[in-house]
Amino acid sequence: MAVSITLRNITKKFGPVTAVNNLSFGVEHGTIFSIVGPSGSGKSTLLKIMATMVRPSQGSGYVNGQNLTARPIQIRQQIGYMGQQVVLDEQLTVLENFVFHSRLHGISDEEAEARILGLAERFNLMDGLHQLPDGLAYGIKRKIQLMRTLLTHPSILLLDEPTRSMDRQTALAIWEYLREQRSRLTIVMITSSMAEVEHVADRLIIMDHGHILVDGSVEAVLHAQQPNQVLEARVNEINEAEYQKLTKSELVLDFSRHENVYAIVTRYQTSPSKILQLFDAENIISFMPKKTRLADAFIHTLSQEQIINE
Amino acid sequence: MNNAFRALWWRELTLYRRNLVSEGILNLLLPILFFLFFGLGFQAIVGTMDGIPYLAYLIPGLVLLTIALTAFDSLAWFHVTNRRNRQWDEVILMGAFPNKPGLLLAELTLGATKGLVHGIIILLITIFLAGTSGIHVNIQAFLVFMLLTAIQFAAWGHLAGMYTPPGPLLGRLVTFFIFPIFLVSGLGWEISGYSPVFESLVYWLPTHTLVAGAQSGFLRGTIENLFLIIAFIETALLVGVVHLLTDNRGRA
Repeated sequence: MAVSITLRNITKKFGPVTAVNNLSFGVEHGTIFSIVGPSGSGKSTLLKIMATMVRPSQGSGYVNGQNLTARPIQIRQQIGYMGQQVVLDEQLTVLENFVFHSRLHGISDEEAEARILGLAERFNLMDGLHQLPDGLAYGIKRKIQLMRTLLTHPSILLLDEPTRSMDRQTALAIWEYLREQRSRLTIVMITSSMAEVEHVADRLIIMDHGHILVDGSVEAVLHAQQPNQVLEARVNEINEAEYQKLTKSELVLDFSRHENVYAIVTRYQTSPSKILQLFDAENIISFMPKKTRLADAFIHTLSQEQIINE
Repeated sequence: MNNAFRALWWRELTLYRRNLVSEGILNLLLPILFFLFFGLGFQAIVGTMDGIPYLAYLIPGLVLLTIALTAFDSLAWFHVTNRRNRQWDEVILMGAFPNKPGLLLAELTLGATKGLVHGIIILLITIFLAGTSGIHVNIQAFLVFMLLTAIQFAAWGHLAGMYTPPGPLLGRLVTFFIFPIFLVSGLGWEISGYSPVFESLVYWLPTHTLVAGAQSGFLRGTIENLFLIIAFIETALLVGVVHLLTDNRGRA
């Protein structure tokens, strides 16, 4: 698969502070690539480096085959960047903002009209087209800004917290649209919503202090960071024999009981059916693995990093 | 026509139509009132200036002042507003304008044209009110100085808009600098009445070059080559400085 972005040993220093520390990775075309990490971990700086808005102190990088430092203008014409701040012309209506942006990018009026109406209909903004941005909610302004970024049909989208302050329905509609565009679009996004990463990302990196702590698919990160699984068994009554089996079984690493529910910790490789056999079949009401959340893996990763640093 | 021209003109016309009263009519009212009260008042006292009816004598300076204020305001507020909502930064950063001189040209042309349009309106109104008897108009010579004034003050507006801190300073620049400097430069009287030292200082002010050149063209029908050359050089230098100071926009 073609690679849209390649970074090699990228470092960015602001005076004595190293915001991004010797990072290397590639992003394949059509991927939704997510960057997560605590505040000050270097995420936004990394995104701005990819957008050619910040020049790296060391290292090299390519976006769509163009060198980051040698050909920034050419790169900027192929990408769509949406920063954290709302950047709209408050004197122009929403529709006029779109028209102005289209004209700046040399899109013909007929083509612009088709694109604007298509996006407005898709994102349920037809009624708001003639309003000034000033009176609109922050989440709607972000949506307008994202739509404006999409107007120019970039091949790479670099998004910093794109759905922040949006209602869930809008965020889902946006991601549905973006996923549809994947054949022609690579997306790199920063988000603080782990649910969003789980829902949309093909790959993620977890950053802290300018380093990449984890890099992989959501599934791989979950497994790598949470080597154990939790199985939940809801039973009719507490049975002493079952309790003893759980205590003595080598497959069970740990378990806890809350009312008539057992939470059993085992290795990921352990087949749940083997644990199920520890119970009397007629006593079981339900038996299922507890879903591991990416948020847990994220916290686990950061806490492991903290332990290592200490 | 580059994209910058196409987009900026559309934006300005859209906003101008919407704010016609505040941007257009009120801006034109000030020079007209100045012409009527100041002009009629002095006309009653001095009658003529160098044999030229006083109201007609006021016209070239007042037209230039209108052009200067409009061109300056237009670009200064354009940049102040865009700095406030950071729109222009993002537009430039995201590569809408790989050609920076093209962008600067579009911005300056925009401010200068607005200035020229307002100046021509004031010219027509004041000619209608004062008539042209007793003067020899060389419209080409006058237009050259109108154009140079428009470019110079669009450039000053560009710089002021990009570097003036937010707040009332921009308005004060107009009230306490541009307006007085035009008055001092001979808009309503001959600078030969000043003390020799002050006169020589004022003589070399860029605004005096413009006003004196415009007066020669409009009132006496002559082109003052010295003023024309100086005004061309000043305009070119100013645009060059603006280009140097603003060319780093959008650089990482």
